[in-house]
Amino acid sequence: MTRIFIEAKHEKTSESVFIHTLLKHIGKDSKSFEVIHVDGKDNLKNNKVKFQENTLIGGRNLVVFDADTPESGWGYEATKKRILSTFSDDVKIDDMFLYPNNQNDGVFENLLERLMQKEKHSRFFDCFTDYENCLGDEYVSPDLKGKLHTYMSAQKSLSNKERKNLGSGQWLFDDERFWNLDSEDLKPLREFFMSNI
Amino acid sequence: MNFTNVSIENFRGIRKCNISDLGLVNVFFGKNNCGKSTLLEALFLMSGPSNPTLPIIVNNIRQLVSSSEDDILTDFYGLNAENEIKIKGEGNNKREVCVSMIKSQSNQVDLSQLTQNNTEQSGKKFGLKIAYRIGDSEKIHHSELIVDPNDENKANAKTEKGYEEGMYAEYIPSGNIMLHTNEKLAQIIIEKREAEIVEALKLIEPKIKDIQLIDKKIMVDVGLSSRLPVNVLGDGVRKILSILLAIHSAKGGMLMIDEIDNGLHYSVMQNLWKVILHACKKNDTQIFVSTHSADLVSALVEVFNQEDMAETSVSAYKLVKKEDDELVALRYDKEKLTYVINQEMEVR
Repeated sequence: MTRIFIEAKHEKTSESVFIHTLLKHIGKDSKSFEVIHVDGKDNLKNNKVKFQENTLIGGRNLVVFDADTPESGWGYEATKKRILSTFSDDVKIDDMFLYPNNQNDGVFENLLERLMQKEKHSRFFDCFTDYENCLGDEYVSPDLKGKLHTYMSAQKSLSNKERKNLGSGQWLFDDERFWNLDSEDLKPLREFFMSNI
Repeated sequence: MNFTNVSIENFRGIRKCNISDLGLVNVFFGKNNCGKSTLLEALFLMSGPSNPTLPIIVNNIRQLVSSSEDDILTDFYGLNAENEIKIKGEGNNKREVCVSMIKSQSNQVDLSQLTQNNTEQSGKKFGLKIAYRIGDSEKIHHSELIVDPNDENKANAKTEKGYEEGMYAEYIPSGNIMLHTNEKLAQIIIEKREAEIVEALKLIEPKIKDIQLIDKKIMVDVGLSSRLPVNVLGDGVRKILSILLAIHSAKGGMLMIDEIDNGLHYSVMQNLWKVILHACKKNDTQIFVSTHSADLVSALVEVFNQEDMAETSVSAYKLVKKEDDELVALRYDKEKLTYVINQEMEVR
């Protein structure tokens, strides 16, 4: 069993739903992995027993977190060091991936932004750019999380049920009308999971 | 508190197990068949090595009612008598216990005894030999149980004169929590300690003023014109009382309770922990409990985060059985246990 430790608080988050959807998309059996919701980087240390337990029974432990940015005090290298120094030698982290591409600074939402079907929804993106420009410096802009959420909630073709589930992170990641899970931008994460699960 | 570290070798399905940083209150959880009951049984064996019948008693609990050679062999890892059982405890109390089997085909037959008992069966004796060391003393004590080869229900128990077990311990198997409740209360009343029981019960039912054993019934005074049977206060209160009495009876010693949540409704679990934490501290009884119940662990987190309960040392362990039969006890401190409960992570 591979345990994937993610930053999300619970399974009803877009990050958790995305991981589950991606793993299904690349053909991974749900019995071969378990997603552990850590609820922020600071709580990684509280998962010590979860790591140890899995190692003892022959499982692998993966950490999939945001790299964050130097502006927030972190960034790819700093976050990598931070995670590796969380535990002493009695805990094994088998592999780690930091969003967006395990190379650059950034967060999960930066990856999602690259997976949006921009050509299919060019009007939305044109309008959203105008909206962001219009806000100027008086409001939070750009607001990537807001943009992603608006992208989904603005979709007219959603059923009532699909619309209701948006709040539980069910952003229909496997629906090609909205997302491209075969994008080159997703290649590092796909390869990470293919080699670790 | 007696022990902070315990190690076990070759007992039943456990090839090896080391547990460190034990508290006064210790909770073990883990998957079915991971070795929770075996661990508690091992602690029980360690508590009374001068009594060579203890390995038979723990077998009886497992429904192995005979004392046949095959049944005794189930105590040994891999059903192999060559694997001597070794249990070691460290802390304020120290003891090392080694249990070995005397096999009927053994080459270790005592020839001097053969001459005293020169019957056809004399070479077929089998049983158990326990060697133990207590405290810092180098002296090794012995006890022995030889089963009658003609009648497996009879045995000759040899204990060492001059050694008296100073530590009281009790092992309560799953579903037996209510056993001997009256006897325990009677003894506590004889020792004039019933006020301590009332004090602990007040934590869960402030109206209780007094407790008495009248005509084999436990009666409580809740301020009415006459005393009431304790059963009237509900099944939960009665079970908690049974556990409370067991803790008081094991004052200064050890109490092991397997599947403590058995038959306990989740609504009384916080009260159970309040009483356990209070009574164990008051009596310096070191308690070891196993549970399958995530609700029970959740209730523990609620209680030990309350200010007045925070002083009792609590350790919680997830037990994981490795493929090579090492039982690993992964310890949760209060912070980590609070976190996993809040995250609703599986503790079973």
